[in-house]
Amino acid sequence: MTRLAHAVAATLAFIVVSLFALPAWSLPRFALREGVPCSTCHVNPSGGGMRNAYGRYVYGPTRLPLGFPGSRERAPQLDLGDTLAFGADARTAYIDQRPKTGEGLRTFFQMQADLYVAARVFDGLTLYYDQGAYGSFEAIALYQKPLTDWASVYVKAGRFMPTYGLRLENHNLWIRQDIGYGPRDKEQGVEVGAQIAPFLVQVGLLNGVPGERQLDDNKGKAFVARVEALGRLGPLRLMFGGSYYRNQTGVKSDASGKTVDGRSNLWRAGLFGGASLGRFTYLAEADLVRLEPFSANKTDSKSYSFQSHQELDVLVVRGLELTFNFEYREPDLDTKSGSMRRVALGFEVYPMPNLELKALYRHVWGKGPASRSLDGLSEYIAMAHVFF
Amino acid sequence: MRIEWMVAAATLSSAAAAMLPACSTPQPASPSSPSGAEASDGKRLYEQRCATCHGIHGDGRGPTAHVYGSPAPRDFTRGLYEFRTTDAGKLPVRADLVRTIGQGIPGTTMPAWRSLLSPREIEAIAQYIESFSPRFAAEPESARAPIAIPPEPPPPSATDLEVGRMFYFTFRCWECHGVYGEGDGPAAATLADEWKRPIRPADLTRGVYKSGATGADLYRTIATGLDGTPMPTFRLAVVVGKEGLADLGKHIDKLDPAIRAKVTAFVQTLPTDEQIFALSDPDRAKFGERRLWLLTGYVKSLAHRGVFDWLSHDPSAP
Ligand code: HEC
Ligand code: HEC
Repeated sequence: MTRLAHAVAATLAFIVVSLFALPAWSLPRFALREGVPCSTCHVNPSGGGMRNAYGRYVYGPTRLPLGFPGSRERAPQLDLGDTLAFGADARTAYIDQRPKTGEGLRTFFQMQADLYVAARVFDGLTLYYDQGAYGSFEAIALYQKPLTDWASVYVKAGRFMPTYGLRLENHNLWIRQDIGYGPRDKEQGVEVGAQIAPFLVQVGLLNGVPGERQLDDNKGKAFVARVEALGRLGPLRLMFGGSYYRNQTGVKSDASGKTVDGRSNLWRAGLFGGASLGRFTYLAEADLVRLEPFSANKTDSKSYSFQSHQELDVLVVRGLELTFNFEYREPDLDTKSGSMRRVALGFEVYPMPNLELKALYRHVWGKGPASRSLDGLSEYIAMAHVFF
Repeated sequence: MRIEWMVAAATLSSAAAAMLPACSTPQPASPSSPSGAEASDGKRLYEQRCATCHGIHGDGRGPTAHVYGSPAPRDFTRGLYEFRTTDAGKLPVRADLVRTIGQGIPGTTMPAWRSLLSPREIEAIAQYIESFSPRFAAEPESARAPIAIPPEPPPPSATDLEVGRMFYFTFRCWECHGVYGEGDGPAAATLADEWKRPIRPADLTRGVYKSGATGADLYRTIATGLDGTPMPTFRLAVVVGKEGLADLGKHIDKLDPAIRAKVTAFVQTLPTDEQIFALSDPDRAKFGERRLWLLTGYVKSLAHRGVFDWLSHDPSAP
């Protein structure tokens, strides 16, 4: 293959991977700016997906959009009594990708289409279902019990994304996609959480089988733990935390009569944190992933990768935000196969309740053989997001 | 401290009440109360939009009541309202509730609902809120006359501001709000609201006012006070001669001697009780209104915003 063909193939692969990632998460910077946990506005205590009554009827319409004097906005009325509530997210993007060499791509893309239903079975018990586009879904039975003004506990069972890291909404950030929290990586299991202000502790036991497989065919269960502290210091909001995930992946299979041990131990660990002062919000996360095959020669075949993300958001006026992201990744720390940096600049407008418009420019710089094909890739993205 | 202040204010008020004509203002036509269908709308809308903070039973204990650490949402069951056109101790009129719900309470989590709910919906919710306290049924709206808010005078001159500043000390605003209006007066740390929660006097330099930022809004606050909080009513208290103002309060030692000397001299220039009593009823009312406007003008002049305020301000905060 020529170098050009190589570049085209790599770019296409990158694009395909990007496209099949669907965002469905909340905006941690909103939570940090307000100094409140995600569960203030979301049905799922880990954030993301459907908004609860507060998110939908209070935060969304009163603190998010540009306020035009004299404007009259009506929040859609989507509840059936106080038992059933509906919600949705739809993100449509236009993407213009321009690699350094070779053909680019110009396309519309339906990034997300999620329909939510939440049923309040009785006080504290909620059934939550999220049907996403491209066959992805979440189904959760959630029991929540407030203990005092500052303490509460919850138990969650079903199929959902493990609670790890900052939980940024953008699926194709390297700290999500690379380490295995793409939009389709829903897992099945249970999670318990305890909020004892300022701490939130979440622990889950899951099959750890991402994607299509429904049953876990290895003995090792995935274990995930996340601790977050969120506090205030005068006008300053501070957040700090760490997360850890361990799983045994793959199977010991009998391929054509021969037993092949395809199992490996997967281990992810990271730190995250942020600070917000009025208009300015800064968030950062860094993660290390270790993959260690089960088979004999353990020491040589361990591989480590590193991903990090930093963002600075400036709220110019209510409803208009400038965003600046910086990502860095090293796909293989041992072989020194290279590193990549990506910068994104853009803005986000909420012209009225239930609508978000976003424009973004991204650029990749790559070093080393593994990232040469993406070096110099520029992307222009425009997106409309309707939600309720 | 609060008790002492209330006694002082009450003494001044009752002295002044004798001198003031009964302040009867034409009552705005009471809005026709919503029909049964709208009243049930009020309950539904309240439970959807308001109950997460104010509680399903109106006791101010909803699940998001404490999330931002701002003042707690109002407990409607006591029938105690801060933002009223009616005199201290009285219930607000419906129009007061409608105004507060519409414009929200800046500096707290209470959102402005004006652009999200129609006037009829706000009216229906206001009616529903009244049902949380038996006081509303017991004290009909016709028994709560709103005070008159006279038209705003032209912007204060430098002399007006200086006189306003002197009144700020003679009426002892500084004891709570501080010498420079920063909310750090000698009495500030000890204040509590009717629910026995600590409360801070407003920092008047921020230019953020809970009940609106126009001259008329501030005039109303100073005139009627903020029920449920230590902020007293001054409508009647300002109609007082120099005899009643001679005692500058127990904190006066903590005031800079230079300012104290100025204030003492200023009090001597004021008319006596007898002179005020000699005024005709309308003139005496005008005399009180003038003092309230002078205070209002001075309070407004305290607001200033620095660059750091701009940087650290979150524009999505209400
Ligand atoms: C996010 C929380 C929140 C929501 C939602 C909310 N409020 Fe409030 N509300 C508050 C807070 C906090 C205060 C008290 C602020 C203070 O004491 O300074 C308040 C105060 C009030 C007052 C008292 C005014 C007075 O004169 O004392 C009224 C009336 C009121 N709210 C009505 C409503 C109505 C009606 C709704 C729904 C349409 C609503 N609120 C929704 C937080 C909220
Ligand atoms: C006993 C203490 C006390 C005294 C004396 C006092 N205030 Fe206040 N004042 C308060 C408190 C407490 C608040 C805040 C109430 C709240 O946050 O709900 C307040 C609030 C205010 C506000 C803000 C209203 C708004 O809409 O946010 C103004 C203006 C004000 N006071 C003016 C005055 C003036 C003028 C005087 C003197 C004539 C005065 N106050 C005397 C305690 C006091």
